[in-house]
Amino acid sequence: MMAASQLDLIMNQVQQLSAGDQLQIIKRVADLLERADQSPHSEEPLADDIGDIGMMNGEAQRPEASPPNGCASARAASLRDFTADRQWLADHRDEYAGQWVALKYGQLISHGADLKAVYAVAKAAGHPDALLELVEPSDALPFIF
Amino acid sequence: MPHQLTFITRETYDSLQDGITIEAVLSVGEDPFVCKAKVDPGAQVCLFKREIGEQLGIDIESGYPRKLDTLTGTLLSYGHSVRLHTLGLEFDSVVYFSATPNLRRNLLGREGWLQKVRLAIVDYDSVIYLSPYEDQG
Repeated sequence: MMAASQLDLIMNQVQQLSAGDQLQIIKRVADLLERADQSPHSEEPLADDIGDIGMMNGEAQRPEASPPNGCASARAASLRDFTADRQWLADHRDEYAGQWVALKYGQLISHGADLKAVYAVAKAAGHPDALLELVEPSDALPFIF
Repeated sequence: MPHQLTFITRETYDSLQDGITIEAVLSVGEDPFVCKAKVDPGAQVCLFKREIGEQLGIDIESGYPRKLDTLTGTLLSYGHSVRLHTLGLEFDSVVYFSATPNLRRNLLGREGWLQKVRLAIVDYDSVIYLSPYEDQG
């Protein structure tokens, strides 16, 4: 068992790394654990690799690549107003159901079944920040995951 | 004893949509991807459509694999580090992309989002309040 101070030191060093580097470390540790689990000398069973969506079931939680409260890097930034885009979707939902649409300020920039093509058109038109949405019909069933 | 919190952001969401839906901007390189996502405090992770990850230029299967438990079965996803921007707050996050295409919704869950913010919702008014976690207002 590692001393608490030693563990704190390592954690401090990990927290200095970028999120991408932290993710690499997690992947490598996960690989090590997986190999250890396959070894007949493994001392502790690994937690199930199943996470939890929509329900809390008390399973061990995977560490996160960025600090859990990753606030050091949080910053205020403005998003444009999406009110007109929301209204457009409400008004045209059934016309474009099942299609990807690219919207900006309530204007339809492009639409179609292929997201890549829809995005490419929006970007070429000078709107890489268009809202991209796969439209659902107004009679879609209520959402629950 | 009453408790008082203050937040830096207050936004109104669309009450006509299912769930609590807000706009989210994901970016890895230069181009952002603007999409809608459901606020889901019951979800352990943030989960996005595979197509979005691909559009961001991410090799989905190169990420951290994680099986997720849903109401109707399990779902394989891969974690990737992205820049996530919601309601005026932007930070580096690990979000997961579905291994299979055609996921119907994007979810903002605990890891990668909720644990980085302080959140309040008054659903009757369709209002959401948000601050960075460290902003202990």
